[in-house]
Amino acid sequence: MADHRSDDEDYVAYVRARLAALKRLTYLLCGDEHRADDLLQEALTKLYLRWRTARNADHLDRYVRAIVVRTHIDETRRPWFRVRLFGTVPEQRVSPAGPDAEANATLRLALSRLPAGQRAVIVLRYLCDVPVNEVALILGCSTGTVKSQTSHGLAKLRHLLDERDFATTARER
Amino acid sequence: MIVNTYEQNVVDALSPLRDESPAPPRIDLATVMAEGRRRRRTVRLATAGGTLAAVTVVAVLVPLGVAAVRGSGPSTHPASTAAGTSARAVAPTSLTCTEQLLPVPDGVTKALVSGGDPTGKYLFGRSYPQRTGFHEQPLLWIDGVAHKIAIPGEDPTIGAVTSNGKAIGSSFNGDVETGYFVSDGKVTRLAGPKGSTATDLNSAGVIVGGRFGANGVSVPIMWKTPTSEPIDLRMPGPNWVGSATAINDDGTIVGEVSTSAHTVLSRTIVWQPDGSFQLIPLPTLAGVSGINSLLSFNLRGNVLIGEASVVTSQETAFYPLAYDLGTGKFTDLQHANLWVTGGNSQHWLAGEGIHNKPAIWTSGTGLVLLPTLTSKPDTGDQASFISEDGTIVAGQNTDRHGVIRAVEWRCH
Repeated sequence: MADHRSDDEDYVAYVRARLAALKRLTYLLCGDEHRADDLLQEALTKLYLRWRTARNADHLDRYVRAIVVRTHIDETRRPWFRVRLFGTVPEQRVSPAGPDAEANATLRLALSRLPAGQRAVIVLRYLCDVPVNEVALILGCSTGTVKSQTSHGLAKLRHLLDERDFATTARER
Repeated sequence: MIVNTYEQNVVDALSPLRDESPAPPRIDLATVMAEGRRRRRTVRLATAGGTLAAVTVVAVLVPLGVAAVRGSGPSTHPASTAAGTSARAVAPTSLTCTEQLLPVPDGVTKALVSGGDPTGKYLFGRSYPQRTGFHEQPLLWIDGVAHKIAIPGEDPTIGAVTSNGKAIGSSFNGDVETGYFVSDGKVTRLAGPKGSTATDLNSAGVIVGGRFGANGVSVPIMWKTPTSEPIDLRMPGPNWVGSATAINDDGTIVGEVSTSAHTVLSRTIVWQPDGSFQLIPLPTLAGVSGINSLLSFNLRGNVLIGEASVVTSQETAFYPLAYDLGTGKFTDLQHANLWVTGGNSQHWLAGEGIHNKPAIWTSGTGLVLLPTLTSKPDTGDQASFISEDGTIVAGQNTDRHGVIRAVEWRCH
């Protein structure tokens, strides 16, 4: 029992310290608050199940990111994700008004239209500053795949972003 | 990594998202831990209570979990403008499937199957020889014997194989994708501008694919022979983008196209051997409104297996279907409750069923969950290939060590 309590205490201490960063990652991957919280909860449950192994991982943060990202990709591959036909539009977080908020909403919407793998690569590389080789380890693929996913994702993003909004967003940064 | 100018512009444009702060997480760690303990108990009970069945005999399964979620859609097979399920061969009423590991060279265990020729004589996939580093080795199994295919470059993969053993593949050199032709184990680089890649070929050696045009816009292309230069296929309009995805032995080509690079909505296009083309109309399915996109991912003879989808800003819903190029009729397959990855001309499907388990579907048996190496749920396994006669199914299955294995199921 003592071991279990120690495990739990370690788990809680680790997660509390990383909670904000992990929420940011899930928010960037999902594009809305509710799904981000759902994804975070599922990923943390998986982490808890594997905690005894995970706590000894050489790169625990990478291990946890991998759980988050792969859970996100798995969720988008499930049939019941793809057929979520909402009777009503899910409640959205009310974003602060203003041109910056609108521009960011445009960017998030474009990101959300990318396939989950491409989205994960772009979020990790360009919004979380994770190097290519580490992104490959997180996703369980080759660096070549990361580069190709990046290239396809950026090309798709460019086309998804309306030219005017794209120019406005770029100018305002 | 070298990023070109337009890519750098997109990266720069994303930078405002770096400064965004989402709301604090609404996570109750006590609840998370309680759920974790509950799952741990469930897995232990499942492991203790059931041994792995090497052979599974399945009649009709009703995937309640999926059906419940799909409750907002039609719950029974719809009578609609799409034809009912009427496979041209008599579908079996029960299937018995046995699973076996496919051999992998050099003592490597991590491998998967991604496709095959219609007979199932040839299967293709790849192995992952190093425990880390993910250096892939493309493999071609001929009558169950594995052969390594030496495609150069990063992330090499085989994309299709014909019943006379010819194959196409691709790999990356930096960020540029390149297509290859494979014959008798010999690998030849396909001609064409940078970024030209192949997706399918037929028994006569006609190859189709796509190339990246200006600003990363994709253009459908065809090689009349493995040694010729590619030619662009005709498009419905000047701004249309897309790629050829499949070709049958009649020389009929299928592709996915969009009205412009600014839309995520796709249409399926058919090019006849004389170069003329038609857009396949969007289907009407009972209980489904707003279908605005159509994708195809498998062509066997004249039968396309694909998906109609309803794309909104909130969600995308997918509805599997078949389309007969000869009759122009759709067959609604949404009641299969399967995430489809492939199918045959009899409308028998392969893919991923409930709990991410490999599965096949026929109109006679309904959903058939295939035997697996472990009883663990949600391992992400899938059947990716089903032969024309339905006796050979292949895909990937995670073993008890968590390693993905290349497997074949024999069904009768």
